[in-house]
Amino acid sequence: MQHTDKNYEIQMNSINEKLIKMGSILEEQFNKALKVLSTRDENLANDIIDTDKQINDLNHDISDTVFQIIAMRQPMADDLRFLFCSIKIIRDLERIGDHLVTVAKKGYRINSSIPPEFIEKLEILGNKASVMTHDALNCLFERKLSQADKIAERDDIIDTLHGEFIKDVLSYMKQNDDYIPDSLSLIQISKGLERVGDRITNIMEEVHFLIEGKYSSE
Amino acid sequence: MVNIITTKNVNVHYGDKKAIDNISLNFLKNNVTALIGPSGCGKSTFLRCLNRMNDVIEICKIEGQICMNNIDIYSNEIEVEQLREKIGMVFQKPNPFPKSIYDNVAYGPRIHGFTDNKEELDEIVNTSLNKAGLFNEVKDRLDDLGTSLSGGQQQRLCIARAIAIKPEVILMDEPCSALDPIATSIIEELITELKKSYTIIIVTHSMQQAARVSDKTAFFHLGNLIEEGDTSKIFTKPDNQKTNDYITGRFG
Ligand SMILES: Nc1ncnc2c1ncn2[C@@H]1O[C@H](COP(=O)(O)OP(=O)(O)OP(=O)(O)O)[C@@H](O)[C@H]1O
Ligand SMILES: [Mg+2]
Repeated sequence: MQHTDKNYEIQMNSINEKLIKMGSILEEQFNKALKVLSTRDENLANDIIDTDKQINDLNHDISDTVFQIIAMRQPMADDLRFLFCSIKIIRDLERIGDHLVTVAKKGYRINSSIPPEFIEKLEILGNKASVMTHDALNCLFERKLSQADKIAERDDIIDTLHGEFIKDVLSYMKQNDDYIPDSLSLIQISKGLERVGDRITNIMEEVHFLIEGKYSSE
Repeated sequence: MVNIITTKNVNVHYGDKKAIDNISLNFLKNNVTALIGPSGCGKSTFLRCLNRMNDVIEICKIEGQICMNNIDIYSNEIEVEQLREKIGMVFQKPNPFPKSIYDNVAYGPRIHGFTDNKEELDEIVNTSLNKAGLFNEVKDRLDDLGTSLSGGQQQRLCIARAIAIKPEVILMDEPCSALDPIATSIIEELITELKKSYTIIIVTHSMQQAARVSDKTAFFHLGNLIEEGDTSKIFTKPDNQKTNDYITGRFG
């Protein structure tokens, strides 16, 4: 059911649309960042860095609109929960953007002599984080917790993969002093992707609150 | 927590028209309960049942049970005057009598035969005005007409008048709708203060007011009670979709 006040309806919808926009930009950023890992394409990396500004702008834009609505409309019930949820998750989305910038900045400079299985493992990790982001945002837009449980499990898988990856890179590093800087970059990339999983877990908590009116841990 | 007023399967008709449809709703002692809902949903009708204000409306028929402190208020043993002593009412428009400020407050205690003693009466008037948060503003002009006060002051005078007869319950039907924001917040603060000694049932069209002052909220729609519960829950995560749609401004 729509709000009787059309302008209110338009304001609320604009937040939803901007969140969708943020989500779709992030999805592209993921694709590009993973491509940077395999191609070491500097132009593409710069493109990611530029595009990140749009995410930051959307973050501020949404936050301004929420602020205005709270001041002018005194929202209640599901509207209030949606605004509260939005204001909290845009920070996480913006940070996911930052993690992908890290992947891009470090990624294009990795030496091509680094064993390809490291890159493959990062791609697997990155794909998992990307799908997780997509699914969490779907829960938000559809107001359904259908995939919520799986998302927490998937964060555990990402943590495990990240842990194993670090071990592998460390032992590689010990035997290949020449590649210490590259190995550190690999670790930072993996760390960035692992942090994405944590951000998504936060987001799912907020989406849970939006839908159920309480946090899943309560 | 005890219920001071309980209602069970209440139906109200005005002639053939059903205004209240089988409502059962209880009111906790020393709580503020807000009745909300779109215009014409039956809030005032229901409120008026609680102190038998509907008795004077000839076409109005009431069925069901309404008890105060476990006594049926519609039973033959109950005298309406006595009931109104226990259940005071404050209306949408401040309606002071065309008498002095003092007499507005003293009127109830006099006709209910509390006292004729001037000193005792002074005491009742002063404490009532004090509790209503009006005393300091009017203490030097108690002989002025009640109608000479500002709207917000008049409404507080009506609250003082209601308090003077030492009721247990105060019914308020949109008490702030004619007041500015400052006068409104004075009344709201007063409501919060008064609930220590009284039980308050308030009808309001302002969601924000209901959210601010009440402990419990009941949502009425087309004569039905759709949902009732803790105010903090009703305004953040109501169970019923209709409640959600009403309080978020999607109809009504
Ligand atoms: N004295 C009356 N005679 C006939 N019908 C009445 C009378 N008083 C109320 N009604 C009808 O009963 C229904 C409920 O009215 P009521 O005044 O209780 O609504 P309300 O919820 O208080 O509305 P509002 O928010 O506009 O004050 C309405 O349809 C109204 O027309
Ligand atoms: Mg009314």
